[in-house]
Amino acid sequence: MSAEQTSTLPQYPEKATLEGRNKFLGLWFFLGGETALFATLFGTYLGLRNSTAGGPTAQELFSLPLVFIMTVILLVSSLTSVLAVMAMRRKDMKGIIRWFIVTVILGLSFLGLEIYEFYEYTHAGLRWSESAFASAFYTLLGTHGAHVAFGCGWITALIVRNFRRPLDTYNAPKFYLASLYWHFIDVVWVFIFSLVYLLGVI
Amino acid sequence: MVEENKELINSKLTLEEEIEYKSEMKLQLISFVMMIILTIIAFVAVASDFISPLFKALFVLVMAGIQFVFQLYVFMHLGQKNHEFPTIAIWTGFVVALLCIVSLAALIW
Repeated sequence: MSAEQTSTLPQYPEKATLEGRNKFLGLWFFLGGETALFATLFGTYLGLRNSTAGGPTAQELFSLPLVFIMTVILLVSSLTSVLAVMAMRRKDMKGIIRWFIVTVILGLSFLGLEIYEFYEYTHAGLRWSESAFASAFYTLLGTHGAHVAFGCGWITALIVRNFRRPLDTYNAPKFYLASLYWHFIDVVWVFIFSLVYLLGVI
Repeated sequence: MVEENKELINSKLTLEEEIEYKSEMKLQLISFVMMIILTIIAFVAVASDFISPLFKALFVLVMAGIQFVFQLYVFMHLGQKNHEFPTIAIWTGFVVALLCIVSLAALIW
């Protein structure tokens, strides 16, 4: 019986095997490195944010309502990936899949809004090569957006691969790490909306 | 009592696990609501006309710092046991990040 099989799973299936624990450590070290990557982009942006070379400035462009909606979407997607990990505590594979699907949908809608935002800015005259401010802005936001896109692809691959499989100590670490990565994307966004958008319009 | 037992068997968790799950869930939901509130406060503060720009900037930075800690320690479970190395990794990354941002901001003019 499959119910009996799942009931023998340990409480923390993602850390039950050496492989799972190694992946867990590896991902955290990776996130430490990612922090440094984003730091270089943040530092560049903060240094160049007033170098607009006569082009549009941050104050003219940024619309806070749109950024607020994007922030809430990403924050809610962070919650849904937490709920997926909570479903893992209940050994509920259907719940994990369901919450990760919601996470991917929210991630994609965030990306859609970001593309719309870039489209608007481009039409307002802020092209990538317009000014140092434009280059730094698009590189920082684009790198974050690429991380969101990668996360969506990663989680989608996990969902497709494990759609009809039971939860076990082999796929539990994969789901857990995807959720950690997703939270990290949200952490970076917290600093983007604070340092780029909110400080940009003050 | 019998019904309660049945529920526990169905959810495939022992009583201790069930209690731990409930308190963990509560913590996650509370911190989510906290983060939403912090975000709204930060946006409202920036949009208001009554606060000086310097204070707004400091306020936004403090809000971001609080959210950062909430994300790491609650959503990413950094506060749970067996997270010594992840703690070292992420805070080392954070210190490097701070140094990097300060030096870049100082170098560019």
